Parts: sequence; C-alpha cells; structure tokens
Amino acid sequence: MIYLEICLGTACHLMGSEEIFSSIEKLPPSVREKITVRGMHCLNACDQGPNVRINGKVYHRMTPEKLIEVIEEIGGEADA
Amino acid sequence: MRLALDVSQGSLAKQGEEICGDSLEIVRKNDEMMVVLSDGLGSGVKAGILSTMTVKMAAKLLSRGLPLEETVETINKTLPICKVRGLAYATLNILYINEKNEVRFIQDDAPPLILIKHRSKQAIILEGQKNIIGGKEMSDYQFGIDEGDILIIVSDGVPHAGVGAILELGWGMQGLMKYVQKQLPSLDEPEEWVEEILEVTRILYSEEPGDDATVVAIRARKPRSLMLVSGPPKDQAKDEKLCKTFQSFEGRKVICGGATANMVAKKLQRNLETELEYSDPSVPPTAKMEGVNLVTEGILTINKAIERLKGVLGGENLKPKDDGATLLAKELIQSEEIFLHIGTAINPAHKALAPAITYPDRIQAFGELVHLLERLGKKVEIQWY
Ligand code: FES
Repeated sequence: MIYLEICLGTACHLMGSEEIFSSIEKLPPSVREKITVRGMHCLNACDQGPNVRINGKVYHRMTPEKLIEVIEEIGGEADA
Repeated sequence: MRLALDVSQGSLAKQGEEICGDSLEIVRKNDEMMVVLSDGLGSGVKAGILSTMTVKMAAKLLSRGLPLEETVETINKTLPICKVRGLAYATLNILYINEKNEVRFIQDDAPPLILIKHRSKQAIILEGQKNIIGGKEMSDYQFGIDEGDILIIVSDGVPHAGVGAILELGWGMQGLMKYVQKQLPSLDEPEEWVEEILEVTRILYSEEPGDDATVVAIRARKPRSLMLVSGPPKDQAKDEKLCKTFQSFEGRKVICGGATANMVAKKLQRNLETELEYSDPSVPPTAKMEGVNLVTEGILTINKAIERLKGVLGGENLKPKDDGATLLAKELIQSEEIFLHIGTAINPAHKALAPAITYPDRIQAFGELVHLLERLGKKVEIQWY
C-alpha cells in the first residue's frame, strides 16, 4: 500500500500541487487502487514545493513525472 | 427583528444585442435596509454605465438619509433619456424594508410582482399603485413580508415571451403565475427561481428574445452573523485568546488559511481533514473541522472570493459551484454582521519564497473585502492581531 500525502497549502498550490493531484487520477486503475491519497495543509518546507510525503518520507519539488517514478519504485519494492 | 434579504438577478438580452448588465447596491441605515437595482436598457456601453451610475447615486443619496421619493426624483431628473425610445437608459427599482418587516417597493413601470408566501406555500400577484414620484409615473407597492417569503420581480420582456410565436399573446402574467405555482414545491433558492424563469422565457422566445428580460428574486430570512479568522496572530501569546473567542462565538464560523486552521485545530483539539476535490483548479481545496462552517486556504481563496463579490455587485449571481472561494463569498453574502479577526504574523515560508513568487498582500486584500462588504450592506468589524 502507498500512503501519499500531497501538500495543498498556499505555497505548494502556487508551485503546482494541483497538477500532482490530477496526475494521480490519471494513473492506471491497478496502480491507483494501491494509493491512499490525503491532502495536507503544510509540510513545513514551503520554499521547496510542491511537496508530497510518501509513506512518511517527504519529497520536494515534485513533478507528475517524478511522482510516477517514485510510485513505481515503491510499488515494485512492495511487489517484490 | 428586521429580516435580512438575499437578492438574486439575471437577464436575457434581446436577440442580436449584447447584455449590458444589471447593477445592485444595498444600503443599511440603523434598522432599515434598502436594495437598489437597475437594469440597463438595450445594449451598449452607455446603458451599462448608466445602470451602475443609477444604483451608486441612489445608494449614496439614501445612505445620506434622503427620503425615498426625493431620491427617485433626483435620479429621474439627472439621468439622460434615450431620444429614440423616450426612456431612461436604465431602470430604477428601490426596495425598502424596515424593522417591522414592512416593505415598500418603488419601480419604473413594469409588470406586477409575485409574492410567494413561505408558510402557506401560495403565490400571489401584487398590484402596485400608480403614483407620480419625482415627476414620473412609478409603481408603488406596500406590503408585509415574513421569514422565508420570496418576492419575484420581472421586466416586461418576461410575460411578453412567446408573443406571435409559440403563443399568440405571450404567456403573460397568468402563464407565469401558473408556472410559479407548479414549481413551488421544487424551487427554494432565489438563484434557482431566476434561472428557471429565464430558461422558460428563453424557450418561449424560441431562443431569440424579442425584448430584454430581467428577473429578480428576493428572499427574506433571519439575519445571521459570522466570524472569520485568517492568519495567526503576530504575538503567539494571543493564539489562545483568539481561539477562545472563536470557539464561543455564536453564529457562522469560517477559517481562511492553512496555518490558522492548524493552529485552531491544535488549540481546540479538533481534527482537520483536507478535502481532495478541486471544483476550480485555481482555488485550493477546502477542509473540514468540527464546529466550523467553512475552512479554506488563505490569501488565494480570499482574493478569488473578492472577485466573486465584485461580480455580484455587477449584477451577476454566484455560480452554483463549491470551490472555497464561491463558498466563502456565499457565507459572506448570507451574513449581515461580519466580524473579521485578522492575524498579522508573517508566514516565514512565504518570506523565504518571496523572491520566487509574489504573494498578494493580506492587509490590502482585507481592506478591499471590507469595502465590498459595506457596499453589500453588511455591518463589518475588523480586528487585527
Ligand atoms: S505549503 Fe506546502 S509545505 Fe508549506
């Protein structure tokens, strides 16, 4: 299971957290159903946004591409 | 207790003409309230500007205490008249309600009003008296209003719909009344009434309105008060006091800002759940907290809500959307007394980011918000922390 928290605070919103959020919705259902998504108000790293936290680890300057990479990596580990 | 009024209006432009916009201004004086509405005639910049000027001027005169009749007279004498049609470029409607919930409504020549009584679920037609006011024949209505009642005001273009096309003589007030009666069980909000009546009007005109058609719906309801907190206090020692005031406030409660919401949640030991729905991608999602009516992001949402309120003053209705800014604008519109508690702590994160992105200024935004709310007839108190 992947527990994904996306920061939707002002700074991260301005840096593009909405794109991150909508990229999750576009994932193939088999991948999407493994992810629990939650919104956060601030992850205390506003100057490095958009920020997400995946299974407890914070990732900075997230992009949709980077997010998919990380998810695949973690997903792969989980399957192995 | 004087009831508060929710006003909604909408128009269809005559085929081939551009809509020039309606205007609205609300004036509060002691325990009385006046709603000034104007609808620009025909198309063009002139009509649009004159409808705005009409309401602004009337609102100014009324707020200075000039009696209704004299206000109408001054406006009628001042505004230019279209030479071709022999009419003013903008109509003038003033609704006045006092602390006993007695209504007086003065209007340029127009069809009768429809009053929907909430308790008996009955719609009735009100005929006005033709009185010469300020040298001009105007319809003058006086009646009482109760909680939940809805008043529907239409321009000539509405009952005329269908003339010579679908219906020989148009659907007329009779047809409109029948329709209102039929819709009574299913429609409740003033915006819904405006939209539905305009929709039928459009269909009766076969999508090509032969005349401008305007609908205004006004609902009377119990007045409400609202407390909005935004921004943590500059001095952290005041967090406690702010949260206590917020907790004990009786009325609607709104929080704008993630840091503020976190602070309140912590102090009051409540859960904060961020929603994941974007109904408008430019507005960050809202959150939920027990005992709080609305939790939104801060400055971006506030600025978007300001845009929405400006639209309302320009005669637009709030769209039936549920993004944070629309919900915030709705909370503000539906409250009469608004208490703003604004913290001035500088968000260190925003400061760090300042070179990369520009943040709209909070103090400036609230200054503008107060000004708009006052134009909407609200009593606003602002307290800085
Ligand atoms: S707003 Fe996202 S980390 Fe602060």
